[in-house]
Amino acid sequence: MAMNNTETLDMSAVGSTTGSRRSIVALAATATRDFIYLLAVLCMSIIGFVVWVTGLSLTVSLLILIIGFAIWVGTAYAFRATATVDRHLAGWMRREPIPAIYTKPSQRGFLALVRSVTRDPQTWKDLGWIVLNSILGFVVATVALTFTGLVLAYITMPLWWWAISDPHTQYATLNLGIYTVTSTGWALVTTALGLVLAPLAFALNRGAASGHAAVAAAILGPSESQRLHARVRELATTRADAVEAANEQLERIERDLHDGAQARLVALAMELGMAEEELANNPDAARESVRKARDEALNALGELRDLSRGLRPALLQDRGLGTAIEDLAHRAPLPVTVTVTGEIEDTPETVQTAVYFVVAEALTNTAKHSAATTARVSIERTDTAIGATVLDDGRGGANPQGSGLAGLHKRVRALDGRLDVISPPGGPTVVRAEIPCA
Amino acid sequence: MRVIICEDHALVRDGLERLLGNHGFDVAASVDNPGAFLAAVKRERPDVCVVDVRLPPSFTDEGVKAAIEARRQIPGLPILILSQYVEQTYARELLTGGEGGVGYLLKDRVADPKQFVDAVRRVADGGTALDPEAVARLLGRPERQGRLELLTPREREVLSLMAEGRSNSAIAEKLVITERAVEKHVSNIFWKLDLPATSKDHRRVLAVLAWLQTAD
Repeated sequence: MAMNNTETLDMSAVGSTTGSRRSIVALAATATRDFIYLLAVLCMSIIGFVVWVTGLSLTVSLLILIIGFAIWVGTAYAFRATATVDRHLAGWMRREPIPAIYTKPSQRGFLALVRSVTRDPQTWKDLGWIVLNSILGFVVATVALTFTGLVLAYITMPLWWWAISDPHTQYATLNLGIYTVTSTGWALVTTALGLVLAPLAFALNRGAASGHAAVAAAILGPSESQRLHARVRELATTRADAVEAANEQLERIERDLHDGAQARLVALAMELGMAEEELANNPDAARESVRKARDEALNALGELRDLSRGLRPALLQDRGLGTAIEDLAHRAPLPVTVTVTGEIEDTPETVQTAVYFVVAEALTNTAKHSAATTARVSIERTDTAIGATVLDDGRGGANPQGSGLAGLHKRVRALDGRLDVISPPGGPTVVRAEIPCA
Repeated sequence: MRVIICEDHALVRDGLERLLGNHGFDVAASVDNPGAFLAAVKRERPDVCVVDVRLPPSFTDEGVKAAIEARRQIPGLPILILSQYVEQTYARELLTGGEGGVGYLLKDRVADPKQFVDAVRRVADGGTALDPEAVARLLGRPERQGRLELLTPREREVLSLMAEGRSNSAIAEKLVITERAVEKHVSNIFWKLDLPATSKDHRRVLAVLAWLQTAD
């Protein structure tokens, strides 16, 4: 939107000569693009023809044998490869990539593969497209390219007409049907004719290329139902991941409680029990036991506090994400700078919590493993998403599959977001999460 | 009396060493994993072992498995299991085999050194020490209530204490009644629950447990 506005302003500010020169360049670029596209379509229509005729005839003739199934899968993959090239071409033409949705086999094994390939609606759409393209694409591209070639030949006639010699007259002539080019004069007339026809060729190419690309997009792109199916599959996966992440978290909490606070309370109770016994005949030992018991009580309190903070950071609920992130930065054992852009406090609470834990985990890893001297946290809120980036100057080599990061990955994915961990050996490490939110 | 301690939390392990040491036990070995425990048992032939349920590597029920393995190698080796939770399944697994010398206590019980040490001694002597909470849960299960409804409240109390591994005299002392009265309650319980009467303390517990596990 913004780009277009500035362009229009530029056009009016600059003189009309520059403007028209620019538009001529743009026209030439479009024409070249169309031309290249149609050339590619011509090639692909021929390749597609070979693919479908060979693939289908082999499959049909061998289907009574087991090998026919293998040939069928191979054929379907050949369709897929051909369609993928066409999809990229049409995407390039339309300046908008065409998404491809293929069903993945739900189980391993050859039969499952055969079944999934056969049931995938896209296999049949691919086949339909390849057959259609091998006829329609061929015709459209041939007509448009032949006409274009003719116009180009007309325009350039003065340069080469003399090279064509008429076997009957022994003179250099060229019969165009209406008249015969026998001199440079006639050749120049032909150039004029070519220039008159040029816009027509341009329009024909334009229509052929964009029309072809539109049909390709319609057939090769996913249908609404394919899109919904893919979305449902994705949601099922992320939901399972979310449940798993929650389970892992519960396990971790139970482990933490068992190893931490519970063990300390057992030790505390034991010390107090011994102190009670020692009170009468060994007051010094009793005092020592009571002191130990108090230390254990304090340690248990600390561990419970850390645990509850890990579950539901109070500051995040009370003061929002900005303050909570600042707090994380302050508590980190290394200097951390925090930059926040946009209105982050409008973000939904679940998203804020996820962002908080991404930053918390990343900073914990930085402090524990990276040997970094500083770290930077930046939170950016746009109209449609919130991004969180944690960058450190440490030695890198973090394992993105590590349990902490894997859990975060699931958490972020469940919110339709993505988490990227870039940590080459030698550093630096960048952890970036992006979660869509209105 | 020589004891081996197997507990992975250093804090609790140190505490147990001191506690048992204070009460005249000789700590023959104090280890933090099942492998070292089994080796120490073989080497030291202790009078009793105190073992935590959750041990490395998986921190689930390694302690129970190690105890069962140790008793397979040395039948009748007295072992007291300590746990943060009371799991009936573990109690049953430990008691299968019918020999005594088994205890299963919540870790909380170490807060009362005298009672805890009593339990260790009882196990060492071939008796049983089931945690009162485990017993309460076993007796409190609704599907078991059918037969248990026949028992009077007093008989239930006696049954719980029996299951914890207490002798008739200890039960008498606890309930402030005569030993003869306890004996009468016990034979009533056996009669009402259709259990053959036996003399040994732990046999009584095993019988009760066996009944609890199989009866509907």
